[in-house]
Amino acid sequence: MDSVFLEIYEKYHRDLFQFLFYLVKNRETAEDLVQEVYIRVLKSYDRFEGKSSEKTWLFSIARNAAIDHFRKQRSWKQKLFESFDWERNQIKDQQPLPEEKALQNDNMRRVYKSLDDCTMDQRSVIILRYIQSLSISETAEVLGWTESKVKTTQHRALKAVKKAMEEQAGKEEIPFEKIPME
Amino acid sequence: MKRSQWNENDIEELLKNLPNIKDRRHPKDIYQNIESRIHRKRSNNWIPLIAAMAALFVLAVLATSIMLGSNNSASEDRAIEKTEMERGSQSRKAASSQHAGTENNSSSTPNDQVAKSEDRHGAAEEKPSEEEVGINHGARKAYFIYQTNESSRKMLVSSHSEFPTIDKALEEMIKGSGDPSISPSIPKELKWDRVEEQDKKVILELSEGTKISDTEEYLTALEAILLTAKDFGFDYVKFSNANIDALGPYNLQEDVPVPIAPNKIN
Repeated sequence: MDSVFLEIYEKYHRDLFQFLFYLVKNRETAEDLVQEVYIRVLKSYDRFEGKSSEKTWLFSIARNAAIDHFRKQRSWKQKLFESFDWERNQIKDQQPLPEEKALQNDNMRRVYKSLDDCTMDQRSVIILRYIQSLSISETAEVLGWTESKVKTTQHRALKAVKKAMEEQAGKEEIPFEKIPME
Repeated sequence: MKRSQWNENDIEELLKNLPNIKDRRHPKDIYQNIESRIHRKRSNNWIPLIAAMAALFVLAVLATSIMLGSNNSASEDRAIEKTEMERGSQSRKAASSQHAGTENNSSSTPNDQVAKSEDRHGAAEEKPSEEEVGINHGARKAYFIYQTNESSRKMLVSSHSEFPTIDKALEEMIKGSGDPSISPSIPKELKWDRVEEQDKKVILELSEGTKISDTEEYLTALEAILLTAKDFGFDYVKFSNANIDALGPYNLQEDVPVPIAPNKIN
């Protein structure tokens, strides 16, 4: 086995897979994409200049792989008539919920579902910031943005999640006694 | 309202606690997948590329051959045209030299007229001075005047049908064919008592009182007769009892040779 592969696998595989899974919300797609990341990394590892951290470099590769995946998924009509706008388009997959126990909880389920109502950019920020616990500057590095763009996107992402959660709660008409509220 | 219970911190907490989704595969399997995908990718990258190049090559070959082909045919056309022109001028020369023996070939007009006459179907309107169409030997046809409109030149064309004798053909040339664009080539005033065939010569014994005038009308009639005579295999036409000595370049007191078929087409 390739030593670079092993090294990256040991250090980052968990994070990369997690990141990709929440971006595409599909296990099989995430599995394919994480392999795609390895392929891209192994081909260009010698080009890694150490300007950014290895981790942010890998995340940016993963994000590009996901973006390419979504581009491929679009129909030829969409490709023909619109250029994909990552700030506006919302990727709504009706994927089954993962079986993880944590998602049996109503609120966790709602948060998970609400990611569907975020744009690709918002989702990226949420995953990097909250699931991967990256700093603002690290997130900016991965996305190639300024820190202030990360902050505003994060703010809007939280608002979008909140709105989506409220809408779901309204539809479900489930009482909220479990939720601590103020 | 119950719905606005979540504040940002709650949501942030929830997000942070989203379950950790693990890749359940063994790293060996993943590496195997990558390896095979790299190989597959390579071949997948090459096959369409080669196919595309092959297609382009075929297209290029086709395109060049089509272009060359059209060039060839164009130049062939030009070549044919040229040879026809050459042949035409040669035969005109031959025709006039032939006439030079009998006449002074002062004017080229009648020769041209004869040369221009078409032997088979209809007139060659375009390039009449270049395209002299050969006379079909043994076709035994009559010749008529063909004129597309008032202003266009009159040309002699052969009939579609054949005639058993030159007598009959000449009669037909007085009557006309019935086709409005094909008119009689011999005026009614030109009358003969009999047509005598002598080996290579046909003698038209003109009726008493038949007055041939040196006009285009009669010149055309003479040439139509000459061409018809040629079709029937005669070399000379003799007009006996002609009231004038010469019609155009032709000496009517002598045997008038039929025009040489310029470019005989088999």
